[in-house]
Amino acid sequence: MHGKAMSEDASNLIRAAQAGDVDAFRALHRQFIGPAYTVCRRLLAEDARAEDACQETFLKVWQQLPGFRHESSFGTWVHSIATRCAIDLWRRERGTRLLDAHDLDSVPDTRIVPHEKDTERAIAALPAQARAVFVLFALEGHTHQEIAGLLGIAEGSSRAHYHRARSLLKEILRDA
Amino acid sequence: MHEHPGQDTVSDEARDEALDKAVRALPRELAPARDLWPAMAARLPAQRQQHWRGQTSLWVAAAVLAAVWLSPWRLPLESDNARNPVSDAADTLHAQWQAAYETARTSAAGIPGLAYLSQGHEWDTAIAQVHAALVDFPDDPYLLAQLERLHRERLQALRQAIQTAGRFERYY
Repeated sequence: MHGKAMSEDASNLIRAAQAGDVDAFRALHRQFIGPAYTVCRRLLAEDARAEDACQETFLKVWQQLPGFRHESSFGTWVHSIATRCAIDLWRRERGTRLLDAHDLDSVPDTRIVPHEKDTERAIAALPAQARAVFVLFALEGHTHQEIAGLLGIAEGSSRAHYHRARSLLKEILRDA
Repeated sequence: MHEHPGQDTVSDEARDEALDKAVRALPRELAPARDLWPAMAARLPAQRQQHWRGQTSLWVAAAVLAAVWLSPWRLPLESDNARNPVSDAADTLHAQWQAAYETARTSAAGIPGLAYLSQGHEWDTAIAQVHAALVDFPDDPYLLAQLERLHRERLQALRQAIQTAGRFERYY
């Protein structure tokens, strides 16, 4: 599908959904769930939790749609909500902050990656905090300053967790 | 056993490159294993209604707060518990600002710029916006940090106005 046609189509769907058209919102859900699910799945590392975060994401999108201004990209807007929902779910389930100093010393859960050359699974096997930083920095393109704000940590901690994640990934992929 | 000095470096660089290559090769999108729409669709109508009720309540609360904050005879808010849950630090700063404002308001010398600092200033607008965002993300550390920063800046501005007034007072 051509970008312009898809953009116009999405724009019409957004306006219809803003007016309460559930069918239009379903079409938007189908069109934009991929990137939202991706960031949730990579941050949370489990299908069920990613699905929960995704559901929360689109419920918030539905709630906030009337206030959405067409000046910004709808996809970017949905993606940012998905990122926050995933981080929020992670924090609620753990009952703690995303990062603490002890996580720097933790080791990957190798039960999840039994000798598999699978980068996706290797990232999922990282300690949760290191995984969050790695996903946000390497895959989502956030700066360490932004990650520090998102996760409520120091910028230096974000850098430390990123380098720890890289070291662990190199070990996992070498041994795979 | 001695290894070649550059061996580890080269090996590590190669592994770095391999990792970067593997990360670049990741799929841009992952698809959920099942259709997530049916479970969510059942919750949609109630959610939108709840949103509008919540938003209406928010605007009403904001209007009430604005009315109180705009009042020249404003006293420290006893009903602060009605605000959205915020960090303790923001609460403390807010209480300090109220105390400082009361001191300034009752000062015999009068504080130049006090009306400007208390009447719908940009900090109040920004604080209200952060409160609105906290409705959806009550635990968001970035929002809470922003809230604390805004309260801190507002308090500092008021204190500076009071200190400046004190210095002027000595000349008269």
